[in-house]
Amino acid sequence: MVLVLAVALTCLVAGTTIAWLLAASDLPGRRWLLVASAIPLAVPSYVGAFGWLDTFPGLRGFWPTWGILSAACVPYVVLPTVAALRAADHSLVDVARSLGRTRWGAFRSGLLPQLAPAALAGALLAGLYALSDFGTPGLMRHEVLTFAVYRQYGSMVGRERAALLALVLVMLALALVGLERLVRGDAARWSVSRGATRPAPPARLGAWTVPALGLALLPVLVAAVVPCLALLRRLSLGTRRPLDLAELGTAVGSTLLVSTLGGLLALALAGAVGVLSARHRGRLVSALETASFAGHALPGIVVGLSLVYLTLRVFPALYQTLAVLVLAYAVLFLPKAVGAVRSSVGAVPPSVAEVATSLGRGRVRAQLVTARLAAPGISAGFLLVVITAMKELPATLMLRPSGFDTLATEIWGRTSTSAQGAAAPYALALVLLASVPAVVLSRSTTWERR
Amino acid sequence: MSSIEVSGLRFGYGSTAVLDGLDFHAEAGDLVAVIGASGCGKTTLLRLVAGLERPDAGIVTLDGVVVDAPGVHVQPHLRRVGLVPQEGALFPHLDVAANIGFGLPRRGPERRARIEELLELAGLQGLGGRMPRELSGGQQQRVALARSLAPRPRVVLLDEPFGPLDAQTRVAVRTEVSEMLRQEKTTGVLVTHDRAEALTMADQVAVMVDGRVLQHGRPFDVYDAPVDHRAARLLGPGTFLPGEPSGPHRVRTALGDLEVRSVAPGATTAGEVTALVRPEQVVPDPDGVAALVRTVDFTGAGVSVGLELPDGRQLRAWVTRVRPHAGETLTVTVRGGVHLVPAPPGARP
Repeated sequence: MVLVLAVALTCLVAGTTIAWLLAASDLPGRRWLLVASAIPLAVPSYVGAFGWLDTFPGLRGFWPTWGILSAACVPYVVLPTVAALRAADHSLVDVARSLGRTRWGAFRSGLLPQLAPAALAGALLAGLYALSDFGTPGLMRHEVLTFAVYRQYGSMVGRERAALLALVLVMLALALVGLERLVRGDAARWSVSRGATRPAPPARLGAWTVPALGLALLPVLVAAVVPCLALLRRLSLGTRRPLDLAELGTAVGSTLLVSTLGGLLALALAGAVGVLSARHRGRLVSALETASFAGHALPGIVVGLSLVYLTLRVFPALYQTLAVLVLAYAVLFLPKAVGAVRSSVGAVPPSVAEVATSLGRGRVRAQLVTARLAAPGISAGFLLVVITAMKELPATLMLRPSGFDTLATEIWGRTSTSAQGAAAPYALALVLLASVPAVVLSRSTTWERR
Repeated sequence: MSSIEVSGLRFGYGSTAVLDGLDFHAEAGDLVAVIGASGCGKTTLLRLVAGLERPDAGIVTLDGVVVDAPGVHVQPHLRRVGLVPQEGALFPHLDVAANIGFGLPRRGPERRARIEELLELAGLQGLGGRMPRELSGGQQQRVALARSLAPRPRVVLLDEPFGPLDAQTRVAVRTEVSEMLRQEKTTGVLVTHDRAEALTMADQVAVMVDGRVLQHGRPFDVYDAPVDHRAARLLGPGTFLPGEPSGPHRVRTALGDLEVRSVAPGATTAGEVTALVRPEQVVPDPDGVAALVRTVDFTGAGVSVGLELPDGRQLRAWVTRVRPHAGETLTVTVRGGVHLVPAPPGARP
């Protein structure tokens, strides 16, 4: 719990500062830095942990776990806060200045309230990530709930306790999700309708440029650069166990297979929910939408555990089949897909479909026009699900068919049996694989926001 | 004493100069409208007077106190300058009373009374507990002005404050805002590109072109006797007719022999001259010049007519109680004498 709070707070403060530097100051190379600041999203935090451990084997316990998780989660705050800063009304700061506030006082009363919803929601997501993360604390030997659940589950006798601990985990996560929705719901009351706002001239950093650059680069260094370098170093050293290229290829193939299937299933489910909630508001639809957000609250380990019980009790034939794993991904990452579908469909004015109808298109064919316009946003959501599914560890560990290995499980298997060197190629392959959609994603979002 | 005195102001981003040696002044209690096309530096002038930017050169004096000069830059929060930005920029998380009280000491004995006073001035009695989003656009602008007036500033700067309002509200809010400023006896600077706004509201008009103040004077004078074609166009439509002197205070033009009412400094008075004819000066007259009616825009109160003179020149006329049709001939003359300006560049000889 302390870890969750510490990570969320660090991300909040550091993320807001970095976002301000990227969006409102004259930091050199800030456009490039914005793309770079999304990179940690592509590196699973347990790969980050593995990279650091490999270089400094002594890293154990709270502080290293905190550092790596914070660095990995900062983008959750930076990206939405940058967007909020660009949309913010900077004339409030000027007004506050003219009414007798100092520079800092004007920032606090004029700009901060506008950024708070985005930054807080991001920090809560970071906290949620820290709460449900399994690999990093596991590798760093820092006992957290997720890891305890897994251990109890592993020791056959402790299944009841595992379920109990999982329940505690779900409660905590639900509390965080509730907070996040509260903060986001609040955001509505900040917007006084107004037209275009003037962009503020960038603040001059002067002597602060170098420390500011350092701060903006730190998360990228900690979460992405150092681990990748460590992996490369390890690769060049060679290993005791020779690398089995065929095995690596199989793992890449299975990773791609399950994550794509999971993405497609999530998208299909999200399509229904997202279109409904964007176009037809009603109590039933809101309930459905809220239910689909449950995946947000459920740490992967809990979904894994419950699907194990479910299949064993109800559909034993399905136990340890690919179908269950794909279903787990779909449940876990449905919220991401729903969010993408809802916002992109919602951004297409209904009048477009209406005009199409008036021009002689049937109802379904008219909606295809909407689908065409919403396609970029929807495909971004799909990519997001695929990336996250690639990196997912605990549910995959529990639900995969025996003998079926993805990159994530291979890494976990090798590092937990101290075959660190052998894990390196897999980790590197995962980072490379995940960074392709990540780069596509961050380019499309920065392009949209320009 | 002048409330604002600005001289030789220079400001630029990188190598592009936004303000290029600008002089400007506003007398105490006056409302001065700064009119100019978008991008001429109007907003930059306001930001400099407010202290939000630091000039590259020049002197800014408020109530006789130097706030910007070489080596001097008084911070914006110490200048006592009120600001009403384009969109009002009310603090969305504060209610109306808290917005108005934002610049007042937090625990002053005067605070409550002053907020009440301004609510009344803005015509918003009893609405102190509303949130900004619950107000109409016009009410929001009045709150924004009340907020800037609350700490009794030396001057209030208004940056196109009526832009987002619809046409009818705009006219009403204009009057209310002038009235609020007058009652508080506060000097105001209003930046606008709307000529009607500038002419109806202001005591003085400053015409701004390319980072300089081209002309400064009472609305009547600036409208009737602009210094050149740019100033003339910013304040209203008009036609520039070439002509030649035909006697003392008379010119001969395509519209006949006309009286010269005034001459802009720098305008030629011998040889080739340029006369400004405003549309409302063109009146139907059976003894006038026959012109072909090209376009007719009926607005209810009158008709804006596009005329073509026998020599092919286009002339804009504003006539009332006449119902012309395109293709007809209208005989017109000019009433009230003309104003001579320097020849616009590229004018046909």
